[in-house]
Amino acid sequence: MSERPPNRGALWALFDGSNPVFMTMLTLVVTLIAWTVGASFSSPWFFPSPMAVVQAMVTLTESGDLPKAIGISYFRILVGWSVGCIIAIPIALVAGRIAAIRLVVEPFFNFFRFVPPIALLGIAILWFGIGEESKIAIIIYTSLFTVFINTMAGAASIDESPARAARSLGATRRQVLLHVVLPATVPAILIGMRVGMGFSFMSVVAAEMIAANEGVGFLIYNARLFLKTANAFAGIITLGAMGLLADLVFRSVVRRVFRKHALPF
Amino acid sequence: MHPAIRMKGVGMRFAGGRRTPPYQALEGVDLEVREGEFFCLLGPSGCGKTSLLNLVAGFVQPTAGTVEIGGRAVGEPDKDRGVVFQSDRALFDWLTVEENVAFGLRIRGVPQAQWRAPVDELLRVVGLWDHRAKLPRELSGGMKQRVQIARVLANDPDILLMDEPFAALDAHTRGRMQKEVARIWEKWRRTVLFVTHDIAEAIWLADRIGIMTKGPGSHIRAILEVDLPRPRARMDAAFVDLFNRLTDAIELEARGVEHEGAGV
Repeated sequence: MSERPPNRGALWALFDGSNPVFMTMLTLVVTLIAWTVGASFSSPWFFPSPMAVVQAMVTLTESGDLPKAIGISYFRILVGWSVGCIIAIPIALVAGRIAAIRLVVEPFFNFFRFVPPIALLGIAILWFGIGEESKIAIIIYTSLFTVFINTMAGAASIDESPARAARSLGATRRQVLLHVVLPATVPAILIGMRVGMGFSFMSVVAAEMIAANEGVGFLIYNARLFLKTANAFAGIITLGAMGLLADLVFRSVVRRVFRKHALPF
Repeated sequence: MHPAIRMKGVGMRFAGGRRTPPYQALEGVDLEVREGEFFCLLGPSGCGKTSLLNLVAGFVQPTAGTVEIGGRAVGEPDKDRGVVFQSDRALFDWLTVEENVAFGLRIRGVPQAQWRAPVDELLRVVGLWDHRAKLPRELSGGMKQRVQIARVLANDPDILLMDEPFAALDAHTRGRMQKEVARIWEKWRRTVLFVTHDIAEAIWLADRIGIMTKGPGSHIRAILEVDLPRPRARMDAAFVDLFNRLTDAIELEARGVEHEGAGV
């Protein structure tokens, strides 16, 4: 006989993890309270309270600085990430299937894995100028790697039998790549794209801090010059929200597009 | 007339890698499968049955000897040789049952007006009509193998290669699938090369049974004619007699190698 949990009433049921929305809200409220209490022991220039941060957000929004920064950072990420994906996916797919190509490409990727995007910023500025191009180039580099490695590993490790089945059903090698390998690799590609997007956020902020006068990264870094600590906090929170929103949109679009795939998220 | 499949002195050696020693899976395989016959390859596990089937399918090339299909040397995998795999992962996970079955026809550019009718008919024949809009992951093991069979039949191949298609199914489902394959085959009548280690399954389905020796260097030891009327009854005296003879033969095969192994 299976054991029944002891009936401790409705109040307890809220805390046993069966109500995720409640638990999330609770965590949020507790964090905000702890933050407010913590901030009350400090000065607003050192550690601003949630209210001060909200105020900074409102001011920055009214002045148009924040919406503009959001727009610019999103634009850089979206363009850089899309281009990175478009370049990485086809090459990685072929490299994953053809060992000879994999052997040529892999050493380069293994080497550059240890070169963080920001290390290339100086060269990117030298090559592409101080404008949008250099920032976008950094994002392309960032997402290209993540997407490439995930896609190649995915394409290399898919089950051989669907590809063989397709060949025996009359598919050519090219058709197998397009109609079997590609769809079978879709989950791995999407994981790579999702992770690549996360890294793109990191890269764009770093690039904007070092070499930009616009964008959320710039806004955060610039705030320190005027000791507007609340602005920096506002920027950081905005960044988190931007990432969350981007991920949410990505997931819901992808789920709709790949309805029939078993997606890992 | 040429036999449907002919193998002469076929050897299959896997080169091995840095950590895996080379392995001679097949050696001196001679086999002739007649046009339209149901041929079962029977042998202990790991005797190279699947390697032999992969050679006929064209997935791998022999390292010695020749493999011919209808008198011509076997080439790349093609639609004339349909394969039903043991693993249900061979299905296209991202396509519905119907799309899986229509895959071969669609990939070859057959317009929907022409593939609609045969695909619909096959879905009914294998009992998947009500499940045609489902995805493979929503199906039971038995249903997935039906999809595999229908997918291959839709392509109307000359030869059907079946690699232990029911090994992963439970006994009850396996019995039902065997009956269905027998029924479908009697209707369609094409050459079938069916790999199994299940003796009863082989007797139930085959016109002839080829008994393979245990590896390394497997070949076909003997070929047995199954001269029982169809549909076959499992408790028939002739069935049981054949079953016992095959069981002894296979056991001898498996044990013989153990003795050899002990001597090494």
